[in-house]
Amino acid sequence: MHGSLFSNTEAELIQAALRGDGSAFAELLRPHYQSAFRVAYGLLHDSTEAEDAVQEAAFKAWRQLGNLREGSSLRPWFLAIVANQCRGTSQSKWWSVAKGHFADGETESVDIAAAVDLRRALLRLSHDERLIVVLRYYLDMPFEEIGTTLGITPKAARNRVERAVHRLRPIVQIQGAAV
Amino acid sequence: MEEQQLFTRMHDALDVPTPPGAYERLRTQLTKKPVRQFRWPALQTRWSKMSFRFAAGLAIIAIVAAAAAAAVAIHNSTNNVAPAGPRMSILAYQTMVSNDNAAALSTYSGPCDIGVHSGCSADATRAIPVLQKWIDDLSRPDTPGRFVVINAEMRQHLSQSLAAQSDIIAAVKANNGPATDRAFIVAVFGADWTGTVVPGIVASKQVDATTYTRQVAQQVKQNSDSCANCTLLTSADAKSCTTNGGVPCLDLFDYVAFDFAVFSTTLVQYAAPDSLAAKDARLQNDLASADAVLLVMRLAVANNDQAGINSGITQLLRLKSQIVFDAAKITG
Repeated sequence: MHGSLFSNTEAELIQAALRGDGSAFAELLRPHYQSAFRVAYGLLHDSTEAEDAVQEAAFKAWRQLGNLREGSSLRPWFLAIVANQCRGTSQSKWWSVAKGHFADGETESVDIAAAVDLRRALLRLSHDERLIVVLRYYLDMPFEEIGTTLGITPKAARNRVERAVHRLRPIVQIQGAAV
Repeated sequence: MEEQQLFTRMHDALDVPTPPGAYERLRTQLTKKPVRQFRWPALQTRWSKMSFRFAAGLAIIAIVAAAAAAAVAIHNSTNNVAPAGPRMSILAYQTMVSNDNAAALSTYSGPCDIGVHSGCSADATRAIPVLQKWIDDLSRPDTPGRFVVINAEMRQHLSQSLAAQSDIIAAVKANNGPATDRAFIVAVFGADWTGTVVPGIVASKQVDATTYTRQVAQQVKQNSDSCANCTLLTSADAKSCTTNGGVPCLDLFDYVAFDFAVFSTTLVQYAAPDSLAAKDARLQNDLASADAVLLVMRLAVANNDQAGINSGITQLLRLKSQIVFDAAKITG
């Protein structure tokens, strides 16, 4: 559950944030920070850029908080803003992944070649395709929440996931074969 | 790829801890820099019904006057080169393409893939009217200037994909697996291409010369200049292209096609300033020529036609040189 309805506390925090209280808005984002970072990292594949993107998105979200309808869920709304923030900075970076850039904290136990292959493959997808794969398989979102985040129906979300996976499959296969 | 396997591989590939202190840094920034709230203008409730009606009347008069002025301005600015009517607005074009793309995506439910055909006929049957409508929309004479080249490319991709949908239905009906695969390989190219290009169209905006030049330089550096995948495709011999129904060659082809599609997309997304419009047009046209070669090559790949593939590669490498030359004129 991600809080489909505002709790009293959340409603109070929103009111405070609307009055300009930054710490109240930060509190609102606290439970969603990790998800937001994962979306940004899944799209950008760079921890520093991901942190910057979330920060920029947070300020945009704060400015637009008045447009969040009562009864709407904060998480998909915020994640959509994060995803938009990442758009445009994420294209055509697969060469850097090909050179073997690894994130801090990546463990030895991970199959590095397979991880690089998948990251390369992801970066070959369009922004929207990559986003939907990240939401589904990295944030483990159900189709309903993906639909809410992207402003589409759950069925369309499912179709898009299938479509993106279809695109991903041959890329991963050939890269796997090349290793 | 199995669903569970993809979950596992995504987590293996991407699971990284949130940087230490990241949330606290955000909190500090938010506390330091209060922002001005942005809200859509709301009607003031203190207005009486009469004053609201009066204001609404004024607004309607203002809109009619603005529309009349715009019509006169467009009429006065029309020259002999322009189409008969005013051009579609950029926003209207973006909305149209976005809606058509969403409609096309929604026709896919599968399962339909190379070697898996149970859902192909139903998908193709749904796709045909949707793609036809999209092509009809793109055939309007009032495409905004910045989208004219990509619009023509998109129409060609969709036309090829549309023809392939009919081939899929016929092949499935004839229970001809290899023919279904060939048609599928052609059909899916249109969707892959639009999947790359449409987000760029939707996000398109005119940028300044510095930004545009930087984007062109980046594309040349990252995609076209090295053309690593072109080299791979060049080195693909007949055996590698015909093995396993052409799939290995197909993947190499996808890499090459993707590189060119991203380049074209970038030029639309970061539309050139007026001062660079002529050079941008040359670059876009050469990329479109390369795209036309890729469309023919796609058929050759689907049919394991090695001679066709080789011919395409030769043309592509020549065009690549021209594209690099065009880009150099822009980047200096």
